Amino acid sequence: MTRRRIRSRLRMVDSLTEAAAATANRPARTLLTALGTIIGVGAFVTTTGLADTARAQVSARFDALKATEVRIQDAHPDGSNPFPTDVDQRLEQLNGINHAGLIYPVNDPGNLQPRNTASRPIGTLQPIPIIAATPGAITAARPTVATGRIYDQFHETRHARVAVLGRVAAQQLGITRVDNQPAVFLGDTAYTVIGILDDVARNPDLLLAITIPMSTEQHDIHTQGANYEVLIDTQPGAAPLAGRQAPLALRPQQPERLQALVPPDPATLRNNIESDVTGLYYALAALALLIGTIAITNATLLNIIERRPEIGLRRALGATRCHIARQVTLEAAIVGTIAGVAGTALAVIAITVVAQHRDWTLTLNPTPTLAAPLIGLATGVIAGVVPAIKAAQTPPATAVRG
Amino acid sequence: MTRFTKAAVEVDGISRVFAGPPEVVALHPCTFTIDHGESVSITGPSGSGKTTLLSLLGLLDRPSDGDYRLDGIDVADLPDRERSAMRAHRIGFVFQAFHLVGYRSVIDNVELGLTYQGVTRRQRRQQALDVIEQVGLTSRREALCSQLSGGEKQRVAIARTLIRRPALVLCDEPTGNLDTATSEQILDLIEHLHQHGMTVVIITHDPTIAARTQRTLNIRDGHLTEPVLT
Repeated sequence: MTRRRIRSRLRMVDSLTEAAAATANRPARTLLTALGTIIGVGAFVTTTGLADTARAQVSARFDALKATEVRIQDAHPDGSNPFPTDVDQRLEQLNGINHAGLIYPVNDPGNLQPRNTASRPIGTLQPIPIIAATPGAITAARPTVATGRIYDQFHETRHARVAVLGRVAAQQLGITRVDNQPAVFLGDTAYTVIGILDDVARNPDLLLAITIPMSTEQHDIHTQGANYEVLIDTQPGAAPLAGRQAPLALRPQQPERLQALVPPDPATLRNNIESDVTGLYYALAALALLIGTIAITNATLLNIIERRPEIGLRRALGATRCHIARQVTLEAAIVGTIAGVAGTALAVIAITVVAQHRDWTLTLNPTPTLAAPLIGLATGVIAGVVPAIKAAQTPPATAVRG
Repeated sequence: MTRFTKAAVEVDGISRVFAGPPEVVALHPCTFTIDHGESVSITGPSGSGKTTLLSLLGLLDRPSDGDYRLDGIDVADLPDRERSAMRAHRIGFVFQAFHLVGYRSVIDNVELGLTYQGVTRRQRRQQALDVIEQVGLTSRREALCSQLSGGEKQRVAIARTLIRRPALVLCDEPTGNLDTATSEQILDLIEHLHQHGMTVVIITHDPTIAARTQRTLNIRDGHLTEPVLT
């Protein structure tokens, strides 16, 4: 006679039903058990969501002006001018550079005495600084012109005796308009004022000074030992490249003589800011998840101790150790999933409230948000392993012993 | 050749010793057989080894020594998975403490008898409604088991066994927690199981219950005495 092989079999849907019924039996305990995981998942989603939302704000508020500014200085100053005369032309050919030029303060040995009349003043007058700059340098300072214009390459190449006044210098000199072609005197030489600057984004000393073309200064004054500097205005993101290329373009035979001052890369800076902020929160989220996992493990262990007679009964009715382990794991997984969903929902509400309060644009990356309940599920499964093994070891004879 | 040509239970020198210290001999080597369709009671005072014997017969525990054939199959040394399968398909239990899942309904508890046989929910439900009617609990089928009286609980336990139609039904003091009138009803239902062709073994220390079975085995201090025909 062939005996039909019998086996104990528990359908997955029945495992889920049994696990769900056991979990729903004690809703308050389930909620308390899930609390740590709710906090952990919530912290993860909040961190991710706030980081995404803040990313836009960091980008918007990031100091784009600083990020597009490069300065080239003399690394080993010896009083001589380390830069060539055609700084503007050399640098503006480089990719990513908008404007560039040489700028330096002119040393006044005492005989220049900037003024608006040919006669020299008697007594002390507040000295007005003089700056020599190529047109590219003034443009790179992003000036706003109050009246008139700034000089250009035409004036530069012809050593034209023109000047641009800063707002403060113009007030000191009593010059408010340029249509009548006013002049300022440096020493005994007259310079026609062709423009007055209302503001500059960089080099605010331009507002206090009389600025003349560099070639004019070298033709008329011949200052020595100035702090020569090249100011470069780049396109966003091009500053590091400009900082590497400019010394080579300006002084190919000895680029190490020049030193580039480059702002930190915006992307790196933003990532640093984000990693500083989010790293802390991720650590806290991980800690909360760990606590949540331990909480679920402890609660499930307590639960299976209380339910030993029930587990014994199930074994007596034919459940294998695997069936018991599966049910206990599923119970912990259900708690974890509930916590994951609840934590995600609470986090999205929190992010929305924060974004609205700070007047930010809410930005949520769907991938981590939708994946967050899975973190809860994974937490539950991990937390269920030890209780599942423990429960599976319950001997079936527990049923008769009560 | 049908299954009824063999004994349902063939026990040959099985014993159970619990490792100490001190070592406890709960059941001395005993030998007996129970035929298919027979009803047998095992009597004896508390601590005599009745429950140990029931655990061994029900594959809830392993004997320290001896052979045990259930339904012609040597089950003493079966691996755990196959013992579970035997319990799922061939053995039914009725416990003194009922052992129901309190947070589930009557019908869910009855269905539990078939859950580990892999029967679909639809089939389980249909059969559960049938046996619940047989034990007279139709009106209470959706009630939680924790809300039932003792008699009702034991009827649910019997329905849970009835739905599985096992070859061997082991009852451990089935009326121990019940009043006399309710006990009579429960014993009638157990007799109902026996009338359905199941082999019934009742553990009891009540001689009136033992008198309702075809045969009685006495156990005292772990020693099984000669079977006594009733």
